[in-house]
Amino acid sequence: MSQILKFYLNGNPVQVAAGDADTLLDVLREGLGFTSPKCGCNHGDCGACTVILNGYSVKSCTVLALTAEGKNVCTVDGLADGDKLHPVQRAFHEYGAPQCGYCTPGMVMAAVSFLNRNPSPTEDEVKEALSGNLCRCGGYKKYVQAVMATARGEFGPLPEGSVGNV
Amino acid sequence: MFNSVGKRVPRYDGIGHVTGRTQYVSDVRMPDMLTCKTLRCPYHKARIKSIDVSEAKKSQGVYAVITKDNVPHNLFAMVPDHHVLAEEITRYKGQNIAAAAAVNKDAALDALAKIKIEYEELEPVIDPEEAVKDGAPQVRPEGNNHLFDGKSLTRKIRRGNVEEGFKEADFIVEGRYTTPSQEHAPMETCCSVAYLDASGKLVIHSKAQGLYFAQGDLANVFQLPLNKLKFVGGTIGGGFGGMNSIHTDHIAGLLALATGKPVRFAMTREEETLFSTIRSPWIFKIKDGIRKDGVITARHVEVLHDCGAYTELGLYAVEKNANLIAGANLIKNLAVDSRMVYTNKMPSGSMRGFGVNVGQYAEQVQLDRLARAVGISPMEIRFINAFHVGDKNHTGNELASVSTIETLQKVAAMSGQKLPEKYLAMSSAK
Amino acid sequence: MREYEYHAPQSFESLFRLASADGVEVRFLAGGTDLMPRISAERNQIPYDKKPRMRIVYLGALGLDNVTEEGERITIGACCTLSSLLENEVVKTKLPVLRDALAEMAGVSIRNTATIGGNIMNASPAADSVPPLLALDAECTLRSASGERRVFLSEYFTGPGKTVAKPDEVLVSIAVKPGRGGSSFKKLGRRKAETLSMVNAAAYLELRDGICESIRVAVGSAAPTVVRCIDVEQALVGKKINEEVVREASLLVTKAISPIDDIRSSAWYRVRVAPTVVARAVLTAAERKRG
Repeated sequence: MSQILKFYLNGNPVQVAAGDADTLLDVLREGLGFTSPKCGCNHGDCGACTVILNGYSVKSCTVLALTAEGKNVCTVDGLADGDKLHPVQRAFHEYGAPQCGYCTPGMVMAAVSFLNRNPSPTEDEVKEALSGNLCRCGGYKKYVQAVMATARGEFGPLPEGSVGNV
Repeated sequence: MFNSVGKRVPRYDGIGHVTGRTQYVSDVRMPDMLTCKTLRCPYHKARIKSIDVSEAKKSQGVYAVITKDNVPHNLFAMVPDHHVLAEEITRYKGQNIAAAAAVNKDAALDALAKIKIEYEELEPVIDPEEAVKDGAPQVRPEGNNHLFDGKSLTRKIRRGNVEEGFKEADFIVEGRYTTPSQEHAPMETCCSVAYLDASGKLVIHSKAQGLYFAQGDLANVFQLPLNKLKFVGGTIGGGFGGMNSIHTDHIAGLLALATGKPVRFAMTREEETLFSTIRSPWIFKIKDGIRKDGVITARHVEVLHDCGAYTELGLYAVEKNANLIAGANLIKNLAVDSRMVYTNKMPSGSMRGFGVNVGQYAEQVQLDRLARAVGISPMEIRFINAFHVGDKNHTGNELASVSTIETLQKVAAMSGQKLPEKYLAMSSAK
Repeated sequence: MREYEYHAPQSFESLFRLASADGVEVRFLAGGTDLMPRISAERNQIPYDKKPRMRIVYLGALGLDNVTEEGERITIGACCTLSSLLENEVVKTKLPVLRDALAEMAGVSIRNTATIGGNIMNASPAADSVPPLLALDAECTLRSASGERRVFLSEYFTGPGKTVAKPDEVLVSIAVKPGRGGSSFKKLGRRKAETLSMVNAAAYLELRDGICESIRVAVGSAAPTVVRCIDVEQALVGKKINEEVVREASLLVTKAISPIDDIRSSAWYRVRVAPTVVARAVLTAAERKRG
């Protein structure tokens, strides 16, 4: 069975048919064609599908789509302000963190959600925050360096307000 | 003078990665695209006594169900001995037997559930050391041992006379080393999207690492001329060698040809882990003779590569392994006997220095044990036996560029080890 | 393929109507971090067996996501996410042992979704929230159409994945009394973060002049359910707490556990590290009491 699901995607109201047991990841990728959240394991382990739901990073493969009714979902597509990248995106790019890049959208969203809550973290806190996002190329060190650089303000201030919040 | 050398260069695809706009194979979407799912053998080894897909073909939302009978040429891979869809005898758990293309995943799986298939489970052989024994269950009709040159059990390297070398030795050190299976686990699982373009050409969006290998190989499977088969590569979510083997392109292509519609075949993480090619296990037995002065007088290496059920890249791995297993040491009396054996497991693929690093693990640990036997340091034994420029390597090639000694000196400096003056003064030049 | 239907009842009346249905498998959904991967895996298998329709009943619209204090009793709503509890002032200040565990559970994004009620109802022997709650002698409240009942957590689990809750009963809250004692949780995983426990342990103890007056110790991931270590507790009551005494007593944990080999660890290793993990939990709890 399927039902009509209405929510806000990157600030825009959307409605889409969602299967009763579909995950939020299924609906974003298959229903709405937003392929930036990736499916790496479909098991809540790899973090490639991380999006921000009502201000909190979640692994969208563990979220039943219909529970997002009326909520705010933010994917990496909604981060940039026109051509102006979010500081975390700039940092990842300038530090050369992505290799194959498949984990990157999830890694960006996990980092953005974390920095919203903890703008001046220690390196250990950053590592802990990214621990649910796997990178098989082994780019962890540069991802951590890039988040620390963002926190130091190397790429400008974080945008006002929490991303994807109500 | 230089635009890029010595400068930080932003990655050409970096912005795409951080904005999520990079399109991977698993992101390719086409109108009217069908989803493919496959029926995999639940046994390590079985005989398919009968298979009936008539009910499956009538299943709602299904456009095609194929078995071996629908494959124009049912052999593929670098050594083309792997079946696209299983023949009468299945050889490993998870081997593809049938495939369905349907409007969605549910419909494809529902159709597969309606395939009537009668198996006779057969006794498999899993352990490579069991598989080489006489009377072991046969993985392949021609036997479990790969025959090099069509007749020899071993791939041999011979230099000098190892028996004489062992007589010269003050110590004999023997070691057995094993390495396990390893899955590449790229973040993006194997995936293909195949369709017929307006001119009737079969187009495959592929994760293949070697697009032209795959194209040539699959032209044969599809029995299509190369100008009717187009491969589209691009950014992929990791491969680590695993994409040298074909996992989904063949079946997606066959279903696109059968249905005339775009077909997407993506493996789940579970399928990828359990059924795709792997770095397969190795067993090394090394017997060394060494003199009190630290010179290795003879080395005999016996290698057993567990290739799984099909050759895939196993043979290539054995060749590379045999040539390099004796390490960066000048050994005057050397014998290498490499065997490759088939077992009822997923086939041996390529992965990150396949064949080489596994052998180096064995060889380096053996060197440390040799050093302990003689009572010298692990550094010393490597300096004493190191290759120099002009030496002949194990397969008889003269070495023009050698850096073993310089590498050891650097390692010692970086790890804070003090080297005796004579080793600091050494160089690879004779 | 089996059918699935989703409901998000806004009241307990409609919840219980949905829960009592014949011919369907009713599953309550809180965060979904355990249930959704299972459903997704099932939906990727060839459906050889006919399975009844699954009715997924979402508990997120029932207001079960609050922490309330009533006298000494702290009541935690079953649908509180692990992150919301980590940020909660009451948990922070009054339930350090639970906070220890929450901070080490999964990773940030899973904690943002997963709920404490889900962790309990999943009934994994490795559930990290359970040893702390057991050390605090928590009480669960189950609600069904016929009313409410309270069950001590120590009597709640009947096996891996199994609890005393009946199919139509919903876990609505967990209540604890923080007590005057010190408490602590320790975990040993295969890595530091985003990992499941090979062995975990929690301890609560009350001290007077360095003498242990009362103590509760729970160990997880080492038996079919999380278990209390009565032998360790008895060996410590009335003793002056120091490292030697605690290490000695902690060896008795092996009487309470019956670990298995699984993907995370071997039974052999678990037997050997469980005393150390227990000792660390007890010593830190004592330290906190003194400090």
